Amino acid sequence: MNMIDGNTLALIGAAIAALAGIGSAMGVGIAGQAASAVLAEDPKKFGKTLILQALPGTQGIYGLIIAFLIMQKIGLLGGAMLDLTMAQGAYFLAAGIPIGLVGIWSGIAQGKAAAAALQLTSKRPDQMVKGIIYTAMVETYAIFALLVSVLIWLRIAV
Amino acid sequence: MSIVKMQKVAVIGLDEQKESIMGKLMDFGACELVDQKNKLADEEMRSLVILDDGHDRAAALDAKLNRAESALRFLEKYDLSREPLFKTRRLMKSDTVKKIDRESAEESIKSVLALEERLRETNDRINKLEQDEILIAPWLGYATPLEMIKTPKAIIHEGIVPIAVDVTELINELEEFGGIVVKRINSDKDFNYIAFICLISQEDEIMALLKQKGFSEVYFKGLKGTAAENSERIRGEKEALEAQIKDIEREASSMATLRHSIENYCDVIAIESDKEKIKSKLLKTKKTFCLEGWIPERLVGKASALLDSMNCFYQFAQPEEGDEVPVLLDNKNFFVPFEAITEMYSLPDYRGFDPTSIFALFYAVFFGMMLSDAGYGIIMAVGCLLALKKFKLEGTTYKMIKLFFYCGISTVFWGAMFGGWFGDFIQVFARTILGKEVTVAPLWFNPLDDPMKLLIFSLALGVIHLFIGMGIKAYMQIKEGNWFDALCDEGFWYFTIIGLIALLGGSSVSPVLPGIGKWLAIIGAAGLLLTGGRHNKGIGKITGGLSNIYNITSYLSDILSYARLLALGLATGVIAQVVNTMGSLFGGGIAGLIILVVVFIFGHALNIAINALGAFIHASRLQYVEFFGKFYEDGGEPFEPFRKKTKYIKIEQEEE
Repeated sequence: MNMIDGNTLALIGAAIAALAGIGSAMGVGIAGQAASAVLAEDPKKFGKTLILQALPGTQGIYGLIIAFLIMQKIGLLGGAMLDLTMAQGAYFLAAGIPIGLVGIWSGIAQGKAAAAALQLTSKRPDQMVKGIIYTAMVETYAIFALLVSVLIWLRIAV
Repeated sequence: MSIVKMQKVAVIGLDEQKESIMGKLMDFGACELVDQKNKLADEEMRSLVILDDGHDRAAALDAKLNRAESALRFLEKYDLSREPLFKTRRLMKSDTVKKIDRESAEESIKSVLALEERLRETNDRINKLEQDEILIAPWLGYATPLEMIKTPKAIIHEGIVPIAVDVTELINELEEFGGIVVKRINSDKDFNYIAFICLISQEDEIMALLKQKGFSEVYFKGLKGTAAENSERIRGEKEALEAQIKDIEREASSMATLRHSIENYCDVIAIESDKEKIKSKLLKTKKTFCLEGWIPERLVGKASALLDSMNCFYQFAQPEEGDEVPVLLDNKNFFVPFEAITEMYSLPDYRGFDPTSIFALFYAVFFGMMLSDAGYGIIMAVGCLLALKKFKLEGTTYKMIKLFFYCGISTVFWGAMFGGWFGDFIQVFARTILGKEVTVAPLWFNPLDDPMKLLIFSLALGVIHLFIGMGIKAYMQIKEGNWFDALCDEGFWYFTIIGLIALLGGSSVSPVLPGIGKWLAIIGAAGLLLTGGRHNKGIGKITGGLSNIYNITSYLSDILSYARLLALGLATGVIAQVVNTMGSLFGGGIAGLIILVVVFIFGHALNIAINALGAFIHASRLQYVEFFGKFYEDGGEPFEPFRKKTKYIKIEQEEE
C-alpha cells in the first residue's frame, strides 16, 4: 500500500492552505450583501463600500500564497515534481494548516465586521476609516497564521 | 508639535456696529464662538439680556442655498467635461467675491430648475405611456376598439382568467347562455385573455358565473381605438418624448458653463447664512451685544488691535478648570500630514499630549516595511507628487496625499533594503526574455532568506515604539507631579521587559547580559507586585499586585503584534513573485513578452492596491491600539473658528 507518499501529503497541505478562500468567499459575500443595502440608499458610495467589501478577501490571498509557495518548493510548477519523503510531505502539510483553518473562520468573522462597518458608513460616512480599522482587527489573526505557515515552510529542507 | 494654547475672549460691542464687527471677525477667521445659552439660566442675566437670533433669515438663505445646490447637482449630472480627480477650490480675490452677480445667478438657477422640472414631467409622461403599453400588449390581436362599447341591448367585456381554469370548457359553459359570443384573444403563462359580447339582460348572471372562475375585468381607461392602433400611437408619442429628453439633456449639457457662477453664488449665500446662524450664540441688550469665544494665544495681539479699532470692550482670560477648550494641532512642516492619522482617531484632550511628531517617523517606517517594494514605492511617491503639483489640495485630502508621498519614499527605502523591485521582476525579465541571469542584491538582506532576522528586527522596533508610548505617559505623570506613579506604572515595566529580553536573548551578545537581565527582571517584577495594588484597599493590595504582574501577557501580545511588519512585508513580496512567475510561464519571444507585460500591469496593480491598503490600515492600527493605548487621552473638540466657510472658492484676503 503505497497510495500515500510524501508528495501526496505536500499537495494536501497546499490544498488545505487554499481552503482559506472559503472564509474569504463567505466574508466577501456577507460584506457584499451589506454593501448593496448601503448602495440602495446612496449610489455614490460605491467606491467606499467596495474597499470595505474587499477587506475579508485577503485570507484567500494568504492561502493562495502558501499554496503557491508549497507547489513551487515541491516542483509542481516547474515541471517535474521532487520525490519527497513522508516526513517532508508531512512538514508541508503542517505548513498549510494554519492559514487554511484560521483563514476560513477569520474570513467569515471579518466579513461580519465589514458588514457592520458598512452600516456605519451608510449612517456616518465620515467615520468609515474607523470601521475599516475595526474590520482590520480581525485580520491580525490571519496574518499571524500566515506568519506561522511561512516560517514552517521556510524551514523545510528539500 | 503640540496643541495650540487658547485664550478665552469676552467682547461687548455696540449693536449698531454688530454687522461690521461680525464681518471683521469672520474675515479674521480665528475665533470660535461659544454658546451662551446656559447664562440665561441665571435670573439676573435674564432680566438684562436676551438671546440674539438670526434663525429666520438663515432659514430663508438656506432655502436659496438648497435650490442652488440642487441646480448644481442637476448640471453636474449632464456636464460632459471630465470631472477632475480631486475637487479643489478656485482662488478668488475678495474684491471679486464682492462683485459676484447674485441676480444673474438666481436667473440661471431658475432656468436650470425649470429645465429639471421639464425633464421630470417628460419622464412621467413616458412612464404613463409605458404602463399603457404593458396593459395593451396582450390585446394586440383584438380587433374591437377598446372604449366600452354598449348598444341598447348588448355590451362588450374584456378580462382575464387564470390559466388554471380550463378556458375551452368555460367558453362552452358561457355559450350555453345563448346570446353571447366569447373569444379567447391571447394567453400567457399566467392568464387567458378573453373578450365577449352578451345581452345586457343576461349580464349579471354571466358575470356571476365568471367571478366564480376567477375572471377579472380589464379596464382600458381613456384609450380609444383598437389595441394595435394604440400601440402604434404610443410608439410614436414615446419616440417624440424621447427625442425631447435628448433635447433637454443637450440643453442641460450646454448649461454646464453656468456651474461656476452658481457655485460662486452658493458660497456667497453660505457665508451670509453662517453670519446669521452665528447670532444664536450672541447675547444682546437694546443697544449692545456680547460674545464669548476662544482665540489662539499667538493671535491675541492681532485680535486686540481688531477689537480696539471697532471700539469694543473686551477681556482675555486663560482657560479655567472645567472649560471645554477647543483643540487645534500645531506641527512643523514634515509632521503636518501625519495629523490626519491623529485626527482620524480622535483629537487629544486640550490638556493632553499631541503625539503626531513622535509617531510620524514610525508610521512611515512601518508602512514602508509592510509594502516593502521599491517599485511600488516609486509609483506611490511619483503619483502623489504629481497630484500635489497638479491640484491645489487642502485640508485632509492634502494631508493624506502628502502622507502617502512620504510613505512611498519610505517604501522605496525598505524595498531597496530587502531587494524588492516589483518583486523579482528584473531577474525574471532577464531570464525569460533576455535569457540571462542577473541578481539584484538587496542592500541589507532578503527577508525570505532569513525571516527570523526580520522578525526580531520588527519586534525590536515594536519594543522601542511601545517604550516611547510609555515614556510619554511617564512624562505626563511627572509633569503633574506624580513621579511615583511614573515609576510604578512605567519604570518597573521598563525594568521587567528589558530584563526579560536580556535574560532570554542577551547571551548571543554578551555572556554577562542574562545575569544582569535576571536581576533587572526580578527588581521590576517585585516592584510591580508591591505597588500594583497601591490604590486599592485591604486584600486588594495583594490581588492588585498579582493582576499587575499578569499584565505581562498584554505587553507580550502588544510586542508580538509587530510581527505583522514581517508577515505583510513577506506577503507583498511573495504575491509580486507569484505575479512574475505567472507572467513568465509562457516563455520568451514576442508573445511571451506581451503576456509578461499584461500580467505585470494587472498583477502588480492589484498587489499595490491590496497591500497599500493593508499597510495603511495596519500602520494606523499599530499607532492606535499599541501606541496610543499606552498613554493617549482623547476627547478634544476640534477648533472651529467663525470664518468664511466656502466650498467652491477660496477667498484671498488682501492685506490692508
